Amino acid sequence: MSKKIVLDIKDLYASIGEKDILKGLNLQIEEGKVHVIMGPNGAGKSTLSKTIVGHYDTNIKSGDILYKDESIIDLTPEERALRGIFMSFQNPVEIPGVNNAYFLRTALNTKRRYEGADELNAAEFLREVKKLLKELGMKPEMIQRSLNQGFSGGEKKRNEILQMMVLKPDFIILDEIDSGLDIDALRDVSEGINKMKDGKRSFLVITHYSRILDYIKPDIIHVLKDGKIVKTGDPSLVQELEKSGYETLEEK
Amino acid sequence: MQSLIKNKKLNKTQQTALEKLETIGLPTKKTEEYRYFDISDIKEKEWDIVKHSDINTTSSKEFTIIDGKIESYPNDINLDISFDEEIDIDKNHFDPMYYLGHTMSEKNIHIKFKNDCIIVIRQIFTAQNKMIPYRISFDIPNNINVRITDLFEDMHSQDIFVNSGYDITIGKNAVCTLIQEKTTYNNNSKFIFSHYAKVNDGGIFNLHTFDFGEGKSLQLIKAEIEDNAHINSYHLLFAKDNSNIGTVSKIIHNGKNSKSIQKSKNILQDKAKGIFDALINIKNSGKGSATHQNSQAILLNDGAMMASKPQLEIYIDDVEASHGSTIGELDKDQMFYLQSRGISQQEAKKLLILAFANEMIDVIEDKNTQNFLHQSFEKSYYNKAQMECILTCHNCEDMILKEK
Repeated sequence: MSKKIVLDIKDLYASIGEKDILKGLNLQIEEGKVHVIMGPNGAGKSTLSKTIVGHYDTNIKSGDILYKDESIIDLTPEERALRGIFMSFQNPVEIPGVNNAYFLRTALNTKRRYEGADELNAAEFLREVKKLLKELGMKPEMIQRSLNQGFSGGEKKRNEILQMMVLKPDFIILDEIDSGLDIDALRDVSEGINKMKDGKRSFLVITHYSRILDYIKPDIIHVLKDGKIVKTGDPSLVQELEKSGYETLEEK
Repeated sequence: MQSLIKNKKLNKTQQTALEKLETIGLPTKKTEEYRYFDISDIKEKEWDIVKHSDINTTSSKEFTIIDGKIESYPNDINLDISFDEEIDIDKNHFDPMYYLGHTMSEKNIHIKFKNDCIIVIRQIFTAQNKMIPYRISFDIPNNINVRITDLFEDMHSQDIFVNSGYDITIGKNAVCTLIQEKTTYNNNSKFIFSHYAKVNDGGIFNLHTFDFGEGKSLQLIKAEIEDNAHINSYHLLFAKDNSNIGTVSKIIHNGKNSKSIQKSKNILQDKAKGIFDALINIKNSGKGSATHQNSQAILLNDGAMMASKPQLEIYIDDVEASHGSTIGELDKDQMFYLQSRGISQQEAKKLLILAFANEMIDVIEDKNTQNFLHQSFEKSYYNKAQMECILTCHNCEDMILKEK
C-alpha cells in the first residue's frame, strides 16, 4: 500500500526580511506518522514551521507547500488553521485582557462553524475543557486567566497542548515543545501529545535535543542544515547524531 | 449666547463667575484647550435655556437628574442634599466654560456626605434644541470614604448643549472614587463638563471616566492636590463615526509627597477624533512628589485621529516623574497568535481591542460596576442594544469549574 502524504514541501526557498533561510527544502510528512526535525542553531527549523503556518515574517521566494494535495502558500494563517494545521509555539505570546476560556471557545466554535457543526455554548465548552485540564495537570483557574499572561514556561506549554487537544487538528507542529520544561511538565505534555496519536494525525516535532523523543516515539527523523534537509532516517539516526553531532553529516 | 448672559439677574456665585468669564473671555479657535473641539457653533447660536419647574423631588434609591434638574434622590441619613444658589468656586480655573456653566446655572445641586457612602447618579437628557447649564458639587469631609457612580443617557435628546461639571472638595484623609460613564449617541449635541477638584492633605481622588459612542463631548478637569494627597485618573475612550470626544486636564501638585497617576487609553474608529491634552504641574512646594502619565491610542482605520499631548511641568528637583504617549496599531504577534488558531483577522482585532479596553475597566474594584462597564463597552463596540454573553463575564466559568 502506498504511503499517504499529508504535507508535501517542494523545493522551498524562503527568507525572513532580506536573509535567505530555506534554500531548496524538500520534505514529505506521512499520514499518522511522527516526523522529527533536528538540526543545529540557525539551520532554519523555526523558519520552516513559521512558513508552514503563514507567519507574517516569512517570504516564500519559490517552491510550494501542498497540504492534503492543495497549495496553501496563498492562504491566510486562519485558513490554514481551519484546514487542520496547528503549531505549538516555542514562545507563546501573552495577551493581557483576553480571557483564556473565551479565546479557546471562540477558536473552537470558529472551527466547528467551518466544519458545519453546531457551536458549543459556554457551559458545554467548559465541561469539556475541565476534563482536559485535569489530564494535563492544569489548575482550573488557568482557564479563567488572561491568555498566557504571567504563565510560567511550563504553564505556557501545557496551555498550547490544551489548545491542541480542544481543536483536534490533523497536522501538528511542535516547535521546541520541550524547551524550558521540567521533568513533570515534560511527562504531562508528552502524555497529552501521545493521546492525540490516532494513526491518522501527523506530527512534525522540531527539537534541539533527543530528550522529548524518550516520551514521544518518532517514526522518521530528518536533519535540517543550512536551509535544507540533509539526511532522513529511522529513529536510530538520533543516537548517531548524539554520538557524532551535526558537523560530520554528509548530504543525502 | 452673549445676550443670554446680559439679560440675567445674577446671584453672588454667578456674579463672581461672570466677572472671571469677562476677564478671560469665551474660548476662541486659538484657545489651546479647545483647539481640537470646535465650539464656534455653540457660540453663534441663540440658545433657549431649558426651563425647570420648581424643585419637587421624590425619594428613590438613586439620584436622577433630568435635563439638569434633580427629580429624585435617596432619603439617606448619610447625605445632606441642598440646592444652594451660592457656593465657593475656583477663582483660577483655566476653562472659561467652567465660569459660563456657573454663570448660567440657576441652582447648584450640593451633596454633602456625612458618613462613608455609595451613591449612583443617573443623568438623563430628553430636551430638544436647548442649552442645559447646571452644576453639581460634592463635599466629602475629613476621613470619609465615598464612591459615586455617574451614568449618562442621551438617547432621547436632540441638538442640545450641556454645560455642566462638578466642584469637589475632598477632606483630609478622605477618599472619593468617582466613576463616570458617558455613552453618547447624539452627534448633533455637544457636552462640555468642566470640573474642579481640591484634594486636601492625605486625601485620595480616584477618577475613572468612560466615554463610549458617537457624540461630541469634552471633559475639562482641574485638580489640585495637597500634602500626601493622591489622584489616580483613568480615562477610557472609544469613539466612532464622526464623534469628537476627549479630556483636557490640569493636575497641580501643591503639596509635598503628593502623587498622581494619569492613564488614558483611546480607541478611535471611522472618522472619530480623540483628545488627550493633559498637563501635570509640580510646584516648588511639591517636594518628594511623584507623577506617572501615559496615553495610548489605537487608530482602527485611516481617517480616525488622536490629538495626544501629555505634558509635565516640574519646578523642583526632588521628584519622581515619567510620561509617554503612543499612537499605533494592534500588536502583530498577538494578532498572528489568534489567527493561527483559526480566528479571523476581524475577530482577532475585536478580541485585542476588548483586551486593550479591559485593563481600564478591571481596575474598578466593585464587581457589579465592573460588569456594567464591560457590558456598556461591549454594547457600544459591537453596536448591539443587548449583550447576552459578554467576553468578560465569568459567571458560567465559576459555576461550572466548581462543579464536582
